[in-house]
Amino acid sequence: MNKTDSAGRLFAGLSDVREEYLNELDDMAPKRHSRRLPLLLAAVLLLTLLCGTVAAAVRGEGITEFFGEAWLRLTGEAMGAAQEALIRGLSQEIGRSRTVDGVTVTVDSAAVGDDSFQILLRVTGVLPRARADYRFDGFSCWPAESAASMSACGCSFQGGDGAGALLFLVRYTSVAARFTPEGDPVPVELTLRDLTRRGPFGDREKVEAAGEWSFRFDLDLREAFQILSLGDVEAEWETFPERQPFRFTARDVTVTSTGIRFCHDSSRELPDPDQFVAILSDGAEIPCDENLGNPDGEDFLCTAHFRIPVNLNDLAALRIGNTEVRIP
Amino acid sequence: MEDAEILDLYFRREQAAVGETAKKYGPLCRRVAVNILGSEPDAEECVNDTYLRAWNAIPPDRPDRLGLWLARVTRNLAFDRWKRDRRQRRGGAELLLEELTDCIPDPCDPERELEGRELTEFLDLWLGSLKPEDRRLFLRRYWRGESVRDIAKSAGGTPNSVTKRLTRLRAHLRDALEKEGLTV
Repeated sequence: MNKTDSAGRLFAGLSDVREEYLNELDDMAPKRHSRRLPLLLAAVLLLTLLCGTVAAAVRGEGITEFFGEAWLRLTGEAMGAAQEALIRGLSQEIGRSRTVDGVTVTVDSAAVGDDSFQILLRVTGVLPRARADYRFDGFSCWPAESAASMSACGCSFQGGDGAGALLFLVRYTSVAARFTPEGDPVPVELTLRDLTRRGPFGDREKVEAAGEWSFRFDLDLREAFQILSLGDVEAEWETFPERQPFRFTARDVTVTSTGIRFCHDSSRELPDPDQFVAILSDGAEIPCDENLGNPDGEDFLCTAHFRIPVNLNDLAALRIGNTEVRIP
Repeated sequence: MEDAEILDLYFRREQAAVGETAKKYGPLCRRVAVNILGSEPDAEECVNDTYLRAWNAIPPDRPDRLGLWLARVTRNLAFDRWKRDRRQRRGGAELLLEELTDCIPDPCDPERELEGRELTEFLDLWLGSLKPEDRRLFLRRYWRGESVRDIAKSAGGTPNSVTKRLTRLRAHLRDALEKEGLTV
């Protein structure tokens, strides 16, 4: 295939891209003039300053407040009292810090589900750069006792806290429940090595702080939470980018505050995590952002984890692909 | 004059419509045409063709965004003209296409070849995944065909930094195509 011809098709294909993108190019959008503009700008500036203050204050606190801010961004509404109580019930303070060459990593707090946990990390001692992306070059976070089931862990940069610290969220997920309210606390080992920074356009990665930060702490599920059983669910979703309908059966579907578990045919492809969405009674939607599958004989045990834990008393429906299942 | 008033002139078949169009959107159309054709006289002809196309199409068409509609018509006419004349001269789109070849995955057994509407839908999704400033940069260069120097001048950067950003964006698009097993 001639690459120049392909580039020509690409150039022609760009012609009809969405108008909203082209309107972002200054002189293609119709210009609107308003004498109220200075007033509006002043109002926006004031709002921005107020929000900035609130955001800084909120992000400066623990994982409950971190989820509260994420909830506001996702749904446009503040978390309700019952929702906040659920997250507080799942949360626990950890408060362990290690300093290496002036850079301090603090394991702030965690939210624990029966098959997963999320931990908020705070890093101080580096100068946060706007729009830069940070990561730890080496990372591991596992429950100390070896898990028989499939599990995964990740650490993602969440931006600054507005007070000079970098925030990271560690997420551990597995396909089988291992935290129980009656069980002993589970020791967790977390190791981070070499904090690196990359510019907004994928510039060469630079080591911001070399060193290793290691922690060992206990996590437990302090309060029992609801588990809903939905039986088998026939679902359909569209493959991307082919947009072909794809049908599959999720068997023995159970829903908890932190996500969904089910079995399906191991020969079938697992839908992307954002194909699983919790729909709340007020219409807010909380998608999953992580899923995992583990072959078990002829079955494929799967989990998908909500971006933010949800109060099942507010759960009106579950959407898997294009299929919506009402919660009885 | 507001777009709605210009469109009303077209709908009343008053020739002043073309004059008002040229006054308001002539510079934009000319810039798009020059960027693609690399020649002022050719661009002038292309812009005149755009006005003729507008006169014939409006009515019945009534574009929601007249400036965007005219720029898109100019871009398509200019690219068609450039393809027709490409054997005779280099310039304008030649350089843009050379750069865009960076976005084309190597021919190592792609699962599907995108074209037409599917290609535009993929580009919409890819553009939507970019930060707005990256999206603007990519479209200024490959939709409007603006020179790297002009982009750098108005964006407050250096040509070198703009070139680097564009190189990374092209590689990002190629990776997105490769990841989905697609080519163009």
